[in-house]
Amino acid sequence: MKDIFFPKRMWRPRPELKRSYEVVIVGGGSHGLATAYYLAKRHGIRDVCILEKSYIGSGASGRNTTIIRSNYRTPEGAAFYGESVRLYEKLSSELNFNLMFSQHGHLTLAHSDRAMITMQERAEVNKLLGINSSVIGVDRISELCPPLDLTDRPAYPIMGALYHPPGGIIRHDAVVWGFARAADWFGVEIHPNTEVTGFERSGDRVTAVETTRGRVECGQVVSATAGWSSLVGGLAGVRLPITTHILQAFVTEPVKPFLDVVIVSSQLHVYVSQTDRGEFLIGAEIEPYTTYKSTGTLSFLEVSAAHAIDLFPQLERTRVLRTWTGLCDLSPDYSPILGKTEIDNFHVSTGWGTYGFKAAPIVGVTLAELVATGKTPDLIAPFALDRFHTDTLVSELAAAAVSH
Amino acid sequence: MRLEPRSGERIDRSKPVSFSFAGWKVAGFEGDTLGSAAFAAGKRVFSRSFKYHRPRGLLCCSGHCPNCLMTVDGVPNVRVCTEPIREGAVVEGQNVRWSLDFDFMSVTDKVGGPFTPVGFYYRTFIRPRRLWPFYEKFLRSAAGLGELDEHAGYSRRYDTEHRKARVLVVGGGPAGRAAALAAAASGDGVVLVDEDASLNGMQLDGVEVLAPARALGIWEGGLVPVDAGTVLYRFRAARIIVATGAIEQPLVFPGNDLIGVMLPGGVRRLVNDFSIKPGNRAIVVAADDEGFEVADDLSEAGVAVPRVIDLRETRPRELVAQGGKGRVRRLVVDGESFDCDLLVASGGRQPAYSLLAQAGARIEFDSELGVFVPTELPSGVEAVGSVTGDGLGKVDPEPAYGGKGKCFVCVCEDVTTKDMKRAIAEGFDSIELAKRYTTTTMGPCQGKLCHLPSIRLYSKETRVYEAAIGTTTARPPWAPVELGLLAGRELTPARRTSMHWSHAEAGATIQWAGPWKRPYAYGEKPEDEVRAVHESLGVIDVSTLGKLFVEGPEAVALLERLYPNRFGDMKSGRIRYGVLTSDAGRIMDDGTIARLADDLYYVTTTSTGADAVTAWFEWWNAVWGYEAEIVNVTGAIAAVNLAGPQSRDALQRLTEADVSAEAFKYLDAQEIDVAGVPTLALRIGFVGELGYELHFPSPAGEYLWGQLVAEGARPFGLEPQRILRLEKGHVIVGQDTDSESNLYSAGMSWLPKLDKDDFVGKYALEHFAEREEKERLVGFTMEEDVLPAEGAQIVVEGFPAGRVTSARRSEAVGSVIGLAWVPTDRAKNGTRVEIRVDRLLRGARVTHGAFFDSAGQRMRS
Amino acid sequence: MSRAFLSPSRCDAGTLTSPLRRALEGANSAAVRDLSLEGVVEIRGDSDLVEVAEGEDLVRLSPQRGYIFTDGDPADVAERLRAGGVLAYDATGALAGMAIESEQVVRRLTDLDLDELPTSGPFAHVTAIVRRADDGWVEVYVQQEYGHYVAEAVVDALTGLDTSRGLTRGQTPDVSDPDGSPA
Repeated sequence: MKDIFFPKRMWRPRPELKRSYEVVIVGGGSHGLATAYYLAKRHGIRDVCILEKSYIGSGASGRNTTIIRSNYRTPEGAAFYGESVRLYEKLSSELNFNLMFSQHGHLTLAHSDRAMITMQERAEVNKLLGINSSVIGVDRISELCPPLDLTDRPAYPIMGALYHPPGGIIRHDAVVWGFARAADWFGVEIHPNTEVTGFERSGDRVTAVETTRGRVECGQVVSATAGWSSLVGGLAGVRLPITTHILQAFVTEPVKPFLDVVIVSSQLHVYVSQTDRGEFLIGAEIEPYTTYKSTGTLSFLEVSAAHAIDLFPQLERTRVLRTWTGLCDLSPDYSPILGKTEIDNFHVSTGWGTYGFKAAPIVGVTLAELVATGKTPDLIAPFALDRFHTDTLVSELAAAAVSH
Repeated sequence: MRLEPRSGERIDRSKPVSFSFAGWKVAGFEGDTLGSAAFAAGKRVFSRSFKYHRPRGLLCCSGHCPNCLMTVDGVPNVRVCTEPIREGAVVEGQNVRWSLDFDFMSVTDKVGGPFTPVGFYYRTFIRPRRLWPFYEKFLRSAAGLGELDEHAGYSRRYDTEHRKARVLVVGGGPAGRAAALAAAASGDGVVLVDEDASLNGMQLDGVEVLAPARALGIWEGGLVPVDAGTVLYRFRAARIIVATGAIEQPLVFPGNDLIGVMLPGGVRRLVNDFSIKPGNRAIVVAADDEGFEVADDLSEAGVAVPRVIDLRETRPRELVAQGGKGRVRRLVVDGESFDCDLLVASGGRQPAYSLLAQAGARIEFDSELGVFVPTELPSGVEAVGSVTGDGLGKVDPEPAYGGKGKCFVCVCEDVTTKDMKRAIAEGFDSIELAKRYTTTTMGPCQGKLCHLPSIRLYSKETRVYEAAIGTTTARPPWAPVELGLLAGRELTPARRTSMHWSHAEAGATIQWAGPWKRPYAYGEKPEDEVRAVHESLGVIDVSTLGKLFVEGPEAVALLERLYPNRFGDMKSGRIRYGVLTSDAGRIMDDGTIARLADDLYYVTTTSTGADAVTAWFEWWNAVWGYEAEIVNVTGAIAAVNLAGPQSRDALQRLTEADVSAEAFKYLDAQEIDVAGVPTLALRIGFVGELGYELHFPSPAGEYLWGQLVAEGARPFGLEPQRILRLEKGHVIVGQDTDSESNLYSAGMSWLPKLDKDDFVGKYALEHFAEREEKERLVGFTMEEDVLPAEGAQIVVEGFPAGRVTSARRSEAVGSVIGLAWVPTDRAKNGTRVEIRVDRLLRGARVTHGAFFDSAGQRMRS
Repeated sequence: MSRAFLSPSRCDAGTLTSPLRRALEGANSAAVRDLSLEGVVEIRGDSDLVEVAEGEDLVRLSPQRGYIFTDGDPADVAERLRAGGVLAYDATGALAGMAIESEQVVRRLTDLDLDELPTSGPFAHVTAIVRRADDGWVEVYVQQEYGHYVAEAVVDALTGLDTSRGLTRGQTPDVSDPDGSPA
């Protein structure tokens, strides 16, 4: 609180790279920063640097639609994200930075009886794992979200929803800045405008990282580079089954808040929330084609606007203010790839699709543990890269048609 | 106050128009905007600012700034300075508690300052955590601008129109007009769009002029959507000429947001277009020539202009606007004070490059001009006029002038110089970080009036040249656009079978089933329809099944390689069940394959699978190059399933062909004539009773359906069909299986023929055949009469270990039956499993094979 | 096998219904006409082998694929073409067709280039074949199962928009006037 009267630097400027670090983290997004923070805090490893090619939070961490939830379909996924939400709930206080986690609930709408089955399945899995999640009918939806059009006017009328009370939205930049400040406090070095250009290898180990600002030797490397992870992996000689796609979103001009819950419709490929600034934040499903080009499309705007109006007809004269795109790293089974690779000291966090931001704290905790102890924590064992060799996939696919 | 009639004014004084403004009745003239009429009537407070609730008045009068955002006839955030006047309009202030002139929330301006610096919300309300929801509620109630009518319906007022232009000119200023005329000289197809309503009706030889109409962006392929109010013109243009001009930039000095501080262009519009005397005593402070022309206009309008300050000649250290009640009263320049009620302040003009940047142009800082200009235009896109920097003089105002009082960089978001400096001091030292932290440029003006001032200030504070800082990303749309306009006409494709209206007219409950509209059931009781099929005769429309011809000398080779099972040994006139697997060995789709002739197969797919299967077949056929054609005839052919013990008799009554048990056996396919309609009849039994799938030309659908119903067949819908097939233990691909299911885990290990030559998925299936699957798809019978939800979990030691994919109460079986994935060690026939139903664990027995008529005598009879 | 079960023309008289019957009931026949039961044949194989007869129009979608629109009996045409060495299928039942007078109505539903007909692409979000009739009308063919939906969209566009809420900016062109230029 006293910070508001006495401005303090959030993190220190770091003019030069050192010759070597115990851990080099590639990517200054929420995952990289969280990993650095937990390495320092829980394992006392402070000789850590973060190499970010642009500014911190410039990638998916600053472009996602800020939705937090844990009502996943697979027991593995639900347990993992459940832990993440629990960490997020305590994070403002832990980092002493208000992340503005607004837990007003998350509704995934069903417009078909098939979708109702999927919702039911997710609710049942969630309940058994202690996650607050249930299928509700139209009457209850109308209590939770009165502005929603629950009539049979829309082409796809709403039949029910999966209700997840702990779900909500958070200020995404604050998560990045909060982790960065805390990591910096422990002595972690954050180097923006530093792009990784290659890795030096010796046998099954990476010995040094080459960057646009020089070479650093490293004990271990963590790549948390989301949309670019297959490229960064490639530099180290690790092939990842990742395709990169764009995801688009837009916000409207601010209007007085009347929507507290997060509304997601898988069938309409749209999700809607209203930020604490009053803007409606509306996003879509990832585009089906692979690209690194971050120009958006007009058809995204048209289709998303149409579907947003299907849900909220009163938004028809609200204006789109700004659109943007972000890169998504997609794995074949829509579950993440987390942990070890065939290179002994090169670890990855990738394959997040549209779920990465929701997992930031738990990724930090588990990757830090892996780096510090050399052992893969049980929680992330199912997400090993190895599963594509043994064909033991963890399919979030049934739930994946937009599940923000 | 209006001036005497002047030449060139846009108002028609013979046509008065009145409306209500913040509760006051205001009169104006046709040709006015709501804003100009209110201003002429003496109204000065148009809005309250986002954070501090400071009173704000007209600033740019060109639809860019946030100062005149008001709620008009219930629509929030309308810029009244450009909104045409209309009789009876109701214009209200927004984001105010009480009234525009007296807003309780403005207390944040008076006392909130030290408590609410930039980013204060990140530092406060952290502990105790349980109180955050209450704080948040307060924060949220303070957020947002206008209020939306929560209960407003959908008006269907918008449409989209696709247009072509040889040359599309964006911007109707002198440069744009000249470019349009030049283009028109060499042919037609020239269109000029401009957002200014006053250009409506402008005559340009050979040019179609659209106004008010605003180009929203330039996308690949020369796609330019143009907002024309209720129609979105989606232009495709071979040549796009951008003539969007330049936007006047505010000066940053204390008090720069007071009412009466205006941009020169706004003042000139009030005077010249609407004949309004905007004040009595004006001071002009400007950094370029354009700003000074306003002085002449003002003098001519009878406004005293005692002082014009040219910032190129004098460089004051201190420049402060002071006022009372939110209105400017004087300007203090280095200690010297000038009384005024109008302060025209201009920080030069910034090229309006957004469209070009979004089209792919590079934006560079021109240190000669002191502004950002577009370079490296993408092909097909040109720029003319001041958007290129042409005609702009060098401007180099101080990023911020000193003095006491709030000094705004971004009026939309109430970001002050102090906020920016603080952000930089805290470490938000890249322009993107500073933008995200302070929210400068993120408001309704989209950076049009604050981007350059922010960068100027940032440059000075961090001692980094503007050129090195660069711009923040230009993001479409160029101006805020209504969601409804983007959405356009409401169009949701729906597939209907050729018998659809027979079902609708028979009172069926119609539901979506994938892309199709299908009957769920025909009455309240689906079980009655089930009973009819078991006991007598039913008929269901299965036209939605995907239907493919695979024809050619190598058709059989193609199918052999696509499916894991065998087709080469199948005789003409016979049918076989087939399951398609992906190259990873997962189940994709299923259906029947009938051999109609040596080189002709008729393949059916699931209702949602037709397009995917066709694409899959064509893909592989292109890879392998077989001499075989794949023709999707799904729509050409209607199909019904006539099922029940009486189906043979009923069919016999409608055909001269012999359909006796001997002549037409189970799994036979025959071409017969049914009631005058040429029909392919397939004897198969998805619902477990004697039955025939009849395939025939779709335009005969309604007719033949009527004939069958007249023969006593009771129509049945999807729900009874689901019960019937479940009684037989038949799997629905996509419901009982998911993207990970394979033939072994789904209990169809008999189907793949691994001794065949290579086929799609063989490698994976060989692997599955050898390994132990983790889970299996099995039937189950509930021990009690409780119905688990589809999606219910099989529970082992408190954890989810499997799931129910189908469950129904079956009269014929006499219990609740279903299909479920269970752990392999619990998949044996008769094993007890526990299913969570309504919070309780309920017992069920694993049941292999069909629940009903397990020997299949009925369908083979 | 005769493939007769593909051919509406092989059905007894009085057994056929157009998929557009309900949607176009009461529609202005001076603005839109139903073509659904007119003959269409889908061809596969070398379309250069196709001999187009009087009253037939070949629309090529690719070198190996096309449609023949015929005034004759499509089942007979298909048989003739098969004899000539190309695979042909009666597609009359597969397509719903409508002829539309107003180009502006068409442009409200498709971004296909009407100066480059025939062509194929999205019309009201479904794939269509669009060609121009001799009288200048635009003919749109879609899969028959989408026919009702597309015809409803066309009729709605013909009727124009509900402008009862008043226009704030711009004007909605009068779509009943084919020459009407947008405001």
